[in-house]
Formats: sequence, structure tokens, C-alpha cells
Amino acid sequence: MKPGMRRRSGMLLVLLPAALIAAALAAPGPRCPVASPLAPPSLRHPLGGDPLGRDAACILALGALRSIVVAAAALASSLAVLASAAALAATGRERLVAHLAGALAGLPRLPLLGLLALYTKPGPLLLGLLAGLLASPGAARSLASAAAREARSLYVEAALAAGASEYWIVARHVLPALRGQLAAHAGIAAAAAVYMEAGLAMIGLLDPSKPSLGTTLMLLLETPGALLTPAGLLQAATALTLIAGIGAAVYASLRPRGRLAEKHLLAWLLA
Amino acid sequence: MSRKLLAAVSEVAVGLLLLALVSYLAARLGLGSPLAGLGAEGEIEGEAAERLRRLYGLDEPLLWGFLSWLRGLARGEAGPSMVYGADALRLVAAGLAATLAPVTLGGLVALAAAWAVLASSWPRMPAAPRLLAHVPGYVYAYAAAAAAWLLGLGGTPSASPTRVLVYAAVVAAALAPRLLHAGSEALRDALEDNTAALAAARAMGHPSSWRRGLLLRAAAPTLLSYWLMLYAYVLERSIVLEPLLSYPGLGSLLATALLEADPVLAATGLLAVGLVSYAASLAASLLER
Repeated sequence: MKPGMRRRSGMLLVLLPAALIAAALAAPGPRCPVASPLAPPSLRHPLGGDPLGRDAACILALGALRSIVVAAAALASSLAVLASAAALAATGRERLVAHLAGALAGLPRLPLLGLLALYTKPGPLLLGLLAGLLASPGAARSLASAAAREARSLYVEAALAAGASEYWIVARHVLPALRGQLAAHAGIAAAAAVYMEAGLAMIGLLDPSKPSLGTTLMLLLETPGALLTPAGLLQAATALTLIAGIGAAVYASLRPRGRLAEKHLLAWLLA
Repeated sequence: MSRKLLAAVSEVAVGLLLLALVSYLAARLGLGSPLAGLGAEGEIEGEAAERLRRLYGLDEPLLWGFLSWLRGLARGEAGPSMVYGADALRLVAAGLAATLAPVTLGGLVALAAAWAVLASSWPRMPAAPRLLAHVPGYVYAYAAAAAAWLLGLGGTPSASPTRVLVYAAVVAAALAPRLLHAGSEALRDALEDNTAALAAARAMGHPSSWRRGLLLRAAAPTLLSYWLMLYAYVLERSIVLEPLLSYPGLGSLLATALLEADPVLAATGLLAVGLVSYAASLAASLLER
């Protein structure tokens, strides 16, 4: 296994269980210590009190955990969609996959996710799954053509001539050959899901009772004078940095290296 | 070429139909109706509630309601908005016009800035835009909203010239670093594709500015294509940007429709965003070809 693939596989093996643990920890609901609303930072409350009188560091930590769960769920759903698209394309259905991906790639993901979130009232796992599904069609088209090219290569034809089934070819040759691209595109979907969750929470389209980085930002903006306090400014800066940081970290850990990285970066900048 | 164009247009048509179906069904089923709450409190009941349900088309079966909505759209009427009272299509058209102005202005400023930097500096690119390209657009909007509050500009939505300029500035800040990256990559591809032409130009004594102009012209369609995709990207994110900036455009309208449970306005707004998004993506793919 190439070093880059080893790193990306390792990242996947770390991220997915970490997210499940995070989901388990966050499931019973926030149990953050009480603090004075917008109390200044102190040793006991490093980021001060939030506008609702809770320890801001605890709330932001729970919000960050939620973002990680969303990223992991989006990663899983995106991998499933992209792997399915690649498998279908490798078994002779490339045009169908390309046309379907083309039809779905232009969907306005963020407003549609907001609408679906109001309909399904999702927790972070379901929200991440939906976000990953919506963020995947754009990459499915390029992966489908790559899978079809792989399926037409000489060693695959040799395997077919030796009696291998299409499904064995897909599982043994095509998907492993595309492992790096699958992980990279799924990483973009996961990072986009983090931004989408925070953005929708920021405007109140998600459940405000659940701790989220976006909800913290919304509370600070809507509480008169909050952003004039040291605690408010620090909390806003921390929340924005965490949102950007978690998304960028997920993307950076799974992106390809070398010349392909620059091409891949353009897809990321549209996320 | 025409077969590919036909295939691309049919993909857009299928995508829009699917978006319309999902939007309408999710809005009707998910948002419910403010009438349910009012009826439960006793403010409206019996014949009055039934009359309102008929007025807003909430008594029709889902599929029939969807087809009625599509027929209405074809006639230029989406049905009345429950929040604003006016026809949803007219509201969405006005909101779209209000959004397109600052987004287009900001997009053009970003394109001009990126082009200027590429024309003068490429391949030596400044490091700051590379980092700024990773910053989500709503970070700038949040900073602008916080600054507006601190400066006492108020949170009442308005399309004043100041708000339009702030919105355009947020869009330009978000798009310029991304366009720089796209332009840099396009110039690198143009350099690889035009090696022979550049060598011939050098041999004939053309100045470096002429050769640079050749590269910029070769990279222009790719950069414009990326600009169109970013245009759709910003429009999609207007649902977050505009409430933060207190700007009464399509994004604010859509956010209000979702929060206030207005199914017809939500579905119509979502379809409008999808239409512009698909049109921009189609134009981008045609430019790249």
C-alpha cells in the first residue's frame, strides 16, 4: 500500500470510531457546568460563560464533537454512494451513472438540506448522512468515468478471460484502484457537511436546544452586547475557528498529494 | 456537440423536476401549516379553517397539489404565500432580483481582482489568498454582521446601498481567493498545452508580455467556467448569508419560508435557486468544452 493510501486509510479507521464514541458521549444531552451569562474567561471557565449561563468551553467542545459526528456520517454515506456509482460504472452502466450524477449535481444542497432537516428533525448522524448524500453527485460523474476506464484495462480483461465475475473484478480490482480518489472526494463531502451543519444552525434551521458551533454563533449575534464582551468575542472567534478548522482538517487528511492535489483543491473550494 | 448539449439540457430538466417534487413534498409534509397551530388554539376553527385550507391548496392530495402547483408556475402563478399574502412566484422573482445585484457585483469584483493578480504575478502567487480560500463564505458574513451591530447599523432587513455594498464585499472576499487558485491551475494547464506555441513565439522574438497574454487568453474559458460555478455556490449559500447580513433577498425569503412553515413559498424559492444553479452549471460545462 502506498504511504498516502496508508495515511488515508488510517484516518478513516480513526475518524469513524472516534465519531461513534463522540456520538455516545453527546447522546444524553449537555451536562455543562453553570456559569454567569457572558462571564469573563477564568481558570474555572476558560472561555467564560455563554449567553445562556453555561460554561462556554464545554458547550463549544460538545459542538465540536457534533461536527465530528456529522463529518464521520457524511464520510460514510458519501463513500457508500461513490463506491456504488463506481461499481455500477465498472459493470457497464457508465452512461446511466453519468447522466444521473449530472442530473443531481446541480441540486442546491444547502437549502435542500435545510428543508429536509425541518422535515426529518435529524440528530447529527442522520444530518451527516443526508449531507453526505447531497454532496456526492458532483464527484460521482468523474469517479464513474475513472471506474469505467479501470474496468477496460488489460489486467481486468485478463481476469475476465480467466473466468472472474464482474462483481469480483469490481471488489478486487476497480474499487481498490480508486481507493485514493474515493477517500479524497468523500473527504470533501464530509468537510462540506461540517460547514452545512454550522451554517444551518447559525440561522436557526436546526434544533437550537442541541449544542452546535453554529447555534453558539447565533446566540452571540442575537444577544444584545454579547460581542462587545471579551467572553463573547473569544467564543465567536473560537467557534468560527473550530468550524473552519474541523472542515479543513477532514479535507486535508484525506486529500491526494502531488499534482492531483491542486486539481482536487478546486473541487474542495466549491464545497 | 449538439448531442452533448441535448444530454446536458435533459439532465437539467430531470434534475429540476426531481427538485420540484422533493421540494414540494418535503415542504407540504415537513413544514405543515401555520393553520394547524392556530386551529389548535381556537383562533380559527370549523368553516373558517377549511376555507383557508382551500385558499392555500392545503386540502388537495399531495400529487394533485404538486401538479396544480406546476400548472400554476407555467401560468406565472405559484399560489399565495401564507406569510406575505402575495403570490409566491412574484415574491421569489423580486427576491431573486435583489440577490442577483450584489452577488453579480461581488463576483465581478472578485474576478477582476483575481485576473489582475494573475496577470501581474503568476506564477509567483501570494501566500495569503491560499489560506483565505479555505475560509467559508459565511465567516465574512458573520464578521460583517457583528461589525454592523457594533456600528449601530441595526438589524432591520433593508436593501439600502450600504447593505448592497457590504453583501457584495462579502461575496468578493469569499470568491477572490478561490478564483486565484482556479486561475493559477488554468494557467498551469495552458502552459502545458501551449508549450510548442510559446517556444515558437520566443524564437520569433515576441516579448514575454505577448506570451503571457497568450496564456491568459487560453486560461480565460476555464476561469470563467469556475466563476460561473462559484456564482451558483454563492446563490446556494444566500440562505445563510442574507439572514446574517439582514438583507431582504431570495436567501432571506427562503429562510423565512422554512422557519415560518410556508410550503408554497419554500418550494418556489428552492426551485428558483435550483434553476439559476443549474443554468450556471450548464453554462460552465459548455464553456469548458
